Amino acid sequence: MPIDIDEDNLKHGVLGLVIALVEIIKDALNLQAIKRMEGGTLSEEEMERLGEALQDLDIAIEEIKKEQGVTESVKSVRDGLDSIVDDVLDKMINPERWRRKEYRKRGREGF
Amino acid sequence: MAEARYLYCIVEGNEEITLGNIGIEGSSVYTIPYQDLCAVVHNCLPEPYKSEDKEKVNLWLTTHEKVVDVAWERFGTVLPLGFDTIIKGEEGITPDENMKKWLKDDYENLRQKLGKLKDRAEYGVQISWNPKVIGERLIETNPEIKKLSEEIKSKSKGLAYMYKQKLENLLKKEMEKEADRCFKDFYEQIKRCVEEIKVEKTKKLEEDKQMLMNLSCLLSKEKSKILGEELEKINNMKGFLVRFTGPWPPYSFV
Amino acid sequence: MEPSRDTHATLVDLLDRILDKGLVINVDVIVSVAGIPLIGVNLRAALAGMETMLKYGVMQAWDKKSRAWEREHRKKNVPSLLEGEEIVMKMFGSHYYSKGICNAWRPGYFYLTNKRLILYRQDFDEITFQIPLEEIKALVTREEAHFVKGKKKEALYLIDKQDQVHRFSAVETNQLKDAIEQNLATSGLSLEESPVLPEFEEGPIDFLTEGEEVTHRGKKVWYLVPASGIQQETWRPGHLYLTNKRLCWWYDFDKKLVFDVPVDRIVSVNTEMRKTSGLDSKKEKTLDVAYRFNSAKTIASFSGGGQIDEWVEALNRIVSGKISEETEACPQCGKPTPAKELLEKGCTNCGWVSPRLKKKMAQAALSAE
Repeated sequence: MPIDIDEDNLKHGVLGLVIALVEIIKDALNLQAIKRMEGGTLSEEEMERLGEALQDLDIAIEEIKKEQGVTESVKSVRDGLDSIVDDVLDKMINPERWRRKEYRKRGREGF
Repeated sequence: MAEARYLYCIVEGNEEITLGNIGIEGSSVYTIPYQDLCAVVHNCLPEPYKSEDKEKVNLWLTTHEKVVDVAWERFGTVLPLGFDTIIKGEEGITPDENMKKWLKDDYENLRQKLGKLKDRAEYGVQISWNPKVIGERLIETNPEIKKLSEEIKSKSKGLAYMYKQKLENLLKKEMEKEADRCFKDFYEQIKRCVEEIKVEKTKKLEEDKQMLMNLSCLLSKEKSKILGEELEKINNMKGFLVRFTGPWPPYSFV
Repeated sequence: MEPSRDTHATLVDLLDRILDKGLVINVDVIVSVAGIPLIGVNLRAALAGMETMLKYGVMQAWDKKSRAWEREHRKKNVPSLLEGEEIVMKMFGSHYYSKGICNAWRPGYFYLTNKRLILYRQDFDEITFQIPLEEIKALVTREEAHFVKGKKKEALYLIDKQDQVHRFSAVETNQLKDAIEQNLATSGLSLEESPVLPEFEEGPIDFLTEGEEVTHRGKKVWYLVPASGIQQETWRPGHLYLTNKRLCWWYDFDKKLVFDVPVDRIVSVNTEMRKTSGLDSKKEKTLDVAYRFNSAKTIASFSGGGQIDEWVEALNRIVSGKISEETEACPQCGKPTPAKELLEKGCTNCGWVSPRLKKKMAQAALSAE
């Protein structure tokens, strides 16, 4: 598929994707950090440091998005990814809904 | 030669009548009867209507709907078809004959469906909430969450951040539970007022609006008033928003 | 509550029904469809987007058409143009802003129009620099060191009719310069031929205090900036200055002194052949200056090719001269004694001897036996 790449959409496309993924990983990190915190294996000082580091990461990502003007793109990518995941899950939970759609689509292809 | 038939809907009737040039691209819409059923069609080429032009496609779709509405008005009950359902002819069979053949083959099924849908209409119900408003309520009412939010105030910067994350996660979980509860309650409430109900996929909305449920309901036009009253109650609840659309031809129930 | 289907919003609801639902009939009679999507653009997404007033369209996995539509409809920040002004070229770059204590590279998009050169910051909808084409006197490009060691970049200098020099950098500096020149030519304007760039030494020597004079300086010298936080130690280009009061290193990029040590804190000077950058594998002559910092001995490393030897000489003069002059307090009794003496002979007052001296004496005693 030929893709026209110009500076603008490269930035919004690729950079948006990269930062979206970084954010997703950061969310995963946050989750793990909370788990460790709840597990009681961290000292208060460690928790403090962990919290500060994660917060710094948070702020840094926001800064980059603002500075590069890709806040909307990132949101768009994440929403897009969310809807893809939603579709996949929906396919698993409601196979009839999709079977019907397929049938209609296929039906139009005139077997 | 326009040898295919664009099919809008199936109705109850036994005469060949025209409904005027109300079809797509100004085509003349008429009926093809078989016994007491009629197919509402216009003549077209044996290829689907496709275009890159949004405006044009938009117009086609609204025209399709208008024709179905007119038929609905005229004949009382319709079995609507989706956009771009086109019947073609084959070797030795004209499209009209093909149409009748198909009506004949599926007669029982079609008759039954029409019977079920007589005087009924489809209504759309979408219930959304404002996650912020609901979140705030949960913070107030849920003891665990409330306690956590108080604790955060006294913590140091890094710890506060960690606890804040924990709070958000907890809040998210509680909201999901609450969403489930609301779904079940509203579903029961609505089900009582309608004849048939279908759960549709929820859509993504803006920041402050999260769709909880998207339903297609089948009921008579008179009963829709009662449904409206129930929905009004839900709409009046703090943080909730109901979207009530219809009446539609019963697309979801054929 | 009343149901409705008249608003723009309900068009989406209609689409959901009319496109996906309705009676499904026997497949045999249906005309074949050439492909998906049936409709050129995801109409539902388009309408849903408008309905809920989202600022972005639904992201179809890299579908070219959707992206084109999205790009078309996304709010784009462009600098407000004058009447009759047209954009000739757009390029990403930055402008070196240097006023008072504020020295920084400001990034943005260059917009070359038929009337001016603009540097525009999209996120803030702000024009950070602009100049009418008629005001441009001359353009010069110059190859300069990149702040990454081993790389070079082109800088563009613009001299205006007030003889002010503006410094820029762009993704394709030469292309920008050519475009500006071409643009000026078509507008009937001309530039000064072979302009002379006021030669300024990178790193003006205005950090000197009263009575301070530079005793030694050289060409570009690289300093190994110590690690801080998550930043590892890195080599950075700059200029080293030895004055009668201190040894300091001026970081060109930040335009400030990053290393600054009073001369009397310098303890020793050494050179070594060392690899200084990952980009090339050559070993370079490095200068290690040992000095006292908060009573701990620290080493600052510099590299700069041939001139290092001159630096060693200049610094050694200080170090040796200093040790003979400097007095230190004996760690044991506190008596002020010339440092050199303290190290070589020990304290004449209490007999304290430095551990090193003790060792030396012990060794000497051993070998004497």
